[in-house]
Amino acid sequence: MDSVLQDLRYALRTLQRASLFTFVAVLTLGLGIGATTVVFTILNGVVLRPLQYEASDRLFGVWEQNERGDYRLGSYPAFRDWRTQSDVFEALAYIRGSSALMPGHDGARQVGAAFVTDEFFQVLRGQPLLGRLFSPDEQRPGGAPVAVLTQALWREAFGGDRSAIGSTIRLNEATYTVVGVLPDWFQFPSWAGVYLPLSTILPTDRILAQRGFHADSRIVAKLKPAVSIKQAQAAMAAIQSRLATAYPAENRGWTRVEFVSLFEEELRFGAVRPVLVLLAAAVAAVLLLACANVANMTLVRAARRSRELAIRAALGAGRGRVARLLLTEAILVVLAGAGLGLLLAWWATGVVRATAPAGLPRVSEIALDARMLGFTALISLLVTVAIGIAPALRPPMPDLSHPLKAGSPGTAGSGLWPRLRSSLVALEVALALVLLIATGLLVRSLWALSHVNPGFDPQGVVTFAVFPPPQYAAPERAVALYQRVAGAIAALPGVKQVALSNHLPLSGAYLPRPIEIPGRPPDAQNDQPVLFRTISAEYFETLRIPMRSGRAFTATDVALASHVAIINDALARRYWPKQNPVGTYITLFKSAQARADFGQRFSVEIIGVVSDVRHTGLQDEPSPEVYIPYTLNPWGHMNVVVRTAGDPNALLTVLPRVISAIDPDIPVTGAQRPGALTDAVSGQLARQRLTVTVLSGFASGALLLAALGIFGVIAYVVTLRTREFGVRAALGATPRQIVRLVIRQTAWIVTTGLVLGFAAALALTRLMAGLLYDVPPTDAATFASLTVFVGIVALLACYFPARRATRIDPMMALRNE
Amino acid sequence: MFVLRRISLDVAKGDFVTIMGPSGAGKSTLLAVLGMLDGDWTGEYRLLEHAVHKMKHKDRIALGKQYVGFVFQQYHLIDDLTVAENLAMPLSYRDVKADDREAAVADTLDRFGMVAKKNLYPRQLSGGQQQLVAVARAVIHRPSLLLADEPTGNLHSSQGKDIMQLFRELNAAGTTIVQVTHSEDNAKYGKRVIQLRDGWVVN
Repeated sequence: MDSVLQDLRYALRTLQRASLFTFVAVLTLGLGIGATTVVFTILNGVVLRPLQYEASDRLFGVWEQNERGDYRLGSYPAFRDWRTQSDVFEALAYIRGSSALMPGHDGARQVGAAFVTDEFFQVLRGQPLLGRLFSPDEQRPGGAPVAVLTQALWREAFGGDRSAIGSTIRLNEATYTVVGVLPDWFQFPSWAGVYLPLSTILPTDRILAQRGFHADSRIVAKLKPAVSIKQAQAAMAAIQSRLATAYPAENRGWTRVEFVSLFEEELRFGAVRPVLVLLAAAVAAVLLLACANVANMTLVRAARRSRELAIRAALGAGRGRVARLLLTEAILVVLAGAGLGLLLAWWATGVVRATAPAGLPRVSEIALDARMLGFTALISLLVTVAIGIAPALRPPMPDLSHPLKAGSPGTAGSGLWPRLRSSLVALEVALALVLLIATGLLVRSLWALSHVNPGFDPQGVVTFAVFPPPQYAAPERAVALYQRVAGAIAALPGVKQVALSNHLPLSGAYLPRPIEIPGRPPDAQNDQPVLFRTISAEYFETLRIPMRSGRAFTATDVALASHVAIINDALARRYWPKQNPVGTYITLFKSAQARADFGQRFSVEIIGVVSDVRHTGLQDEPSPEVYIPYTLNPWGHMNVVVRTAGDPNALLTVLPRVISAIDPDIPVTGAQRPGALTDAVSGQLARQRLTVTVLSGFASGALLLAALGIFGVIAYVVTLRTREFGVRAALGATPRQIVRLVIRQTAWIVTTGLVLGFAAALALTRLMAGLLYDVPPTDAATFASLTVFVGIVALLACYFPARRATRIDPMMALRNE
Repeated sequence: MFVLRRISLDVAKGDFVTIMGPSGAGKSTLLAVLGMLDGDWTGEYRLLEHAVHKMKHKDRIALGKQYVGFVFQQYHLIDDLTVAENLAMPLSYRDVKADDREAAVADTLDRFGMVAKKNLYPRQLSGGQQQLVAVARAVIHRPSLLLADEPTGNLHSSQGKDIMQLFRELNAAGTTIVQVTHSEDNAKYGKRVIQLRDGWVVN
């Protein structure tokens, strides 16, 4: 114990004296450990930590699946059939989503209302933050209308006031009593703001009586403990077969049921996981680089102290004692680095939670906890071993007299140490190259994506949504409102064009629906649903979507709700590859779910073909679309598209006043807030852009560390060879010859690193293929250019210390010897 | 290529031997072999009753630790340790308990007249004082054999005389000393001289 304290005191003193080394080492490790901890904290909160619902491993979203493999949301009648006919569920719940208007003192706000069946809180079991959940009586028809709020809505509408419990809220025209508030991690589906018993709308919501496709619904299940997914699928397949026979119009072909773990649904079906895993790998590489750098610095220090170490050995210190002394220093450096890293991680985690990008799920669960502290301790231990073990590895020195001889400059250590240093430098170069190549591929992908033609012109366009209050429920009243809104906006100065559309491109909202083509029998296997669009006559002109053939809708078509349709290129290519479809009649199905005519067949004449628009995403191929006049199937809400002559931002501030003047009950907050369409386009790139930004930071840090590593090692080698360079200069060597001599020694180390990095990148970038757009993961140009770039940086890093060798005064060098 | 050839040497207990010879004669190498710092030799070497030539490397190190003290021309003090800590180091490596260590250090400081300098660092001492500390460190664990390689090589003549006088006193107290020196004056402090030339003993 006493000798341990001795080593500790000496280590502290030595580190204090070598303040520059200590500062650089602690900072390097602090940044590396801190960055690693932050990224893994995000990974832990979003991907690794199980959902906080009870028995989350048995929770599944349940989807119907047809023979072609398409999915659709289940209907309420299907849910009731599953509940009565199957025995694989411990609990099964149906959720009906609806957009509700909630008046407040700061204006009306749109709220996602989730009407849930009685077993919902048995499936997703969790303790409320305040108050209670629904009682059995409240979930029966005729029960008291009660509501349970998500924490987000509670904070937004009530400012987090506990007196919300027992207060009443109005949603559309109904009043509910708030009985509970849920914890922040409980929000399923992600759009839900308030939970209400389904029994309150069962008698009046006609959609609940309809089979077939249901938008805005979800079915969640908790399987019985002994039931596997395969068993559940087999049991449900039997039920689906019976339903397909009993209800052929709605269920033919939909013979399977897919169980998607709720965890996967929360992770947006894997959209987030690959990015986080990539970032985790990148930060681990940076940490490895930081360790390699500090290990190299430690090796150089140990080599410089070879005289001291030899003295200790000559005075009786065994290998173990010397190793322990060096390891003690390493432990102190790592502890200081880990402490700094934890501070940085704690700060950065707070920043991430406050500024998390939209689309990152489970943000509230990103937190430094005991598991992450344990993780930090583990990586600190590994780092200690990595940087402390190298100098402690000393083969037996049969001749201690050499380092103790007069004039001995301090040896480079045994043959092991120079090889270790070279290996570490090569490793650093390899890691830096891998990170740079990964970043380069993503940059090229981002560039390609940012130059994708979305099919429309978003410049100078503002959009917002109109969600009519309940008094506009009747279709003709809704249409009249939309026309009033469009007219009022068109009259504003600076407005060039105004159009209406049920869905906007790149908004994430779309509705796939079947179509029928006379003379062509339905093919359940191959027929893909088509995106159903209702628009005003000005829509294509406002968004500058060119017509390919035929004509656009006229004001008369819209006014008369003519049975006409326009299809896009993708749909035309699918069914009329060698013909002009203009003039052909097709059958569509009324698709406004709130209307009585939902599902009703109607025939339309194709009057035009319009150019494709990338509606679902810039990376997605255009989907087949059919457009009809919005008056032919009035939607429950409408998007307004406004092309301005001047700055769209000026219009953004005016629009809410215009809407309020028409009807103050129409909300313009939340998702309905006016926004520039260019934001929707750039929002498509947001995730890639963020990934590129973060990865670029890591790659730049890695390259800097690698360059510093090379610089440090070469500077040390130059010091060791001072006498040699002095002699060479005295014998006539030119500065250029000396520089070349030094660089040649480094070149093979750098080349080794480049070869290793190139090979590793070839193997690893294939795993990134899913993140890349229009760029192969082994893109030759990216690989070649970045390999050359890293090589140049590495050679520059050794050029400057090599130049120092040319400034050695031969006489000084020889005198020192 | 041999540094030493057919060295046959007897050093009796209590002897004070000086090894002399031109540069490259192998003097320091011979000292390093005697002090177990150099293991790359063949032949026989007996230290007290121990057959060193038959011992493994680890055992040789342990033997050297037990019986040998070394004084270097370059002093080789640890720069970041105080005088007292430098003195304590050999005892620490011999697992001497803290209390005993402190007592031995105090005695040695007193014996060598360095009590006032115990908390100073080597860079705060003169060359002579540093060599004094080095000698004190070499003898603190009471070695039977003290090896000194050019102990006054970096000192002024008066400092050197002080060190050599100290050696004489140590030898008189029973320590066997083998020194390497170029100095005839220093050689006079010893009892006999061995000449080395090109790795051979020539006298």
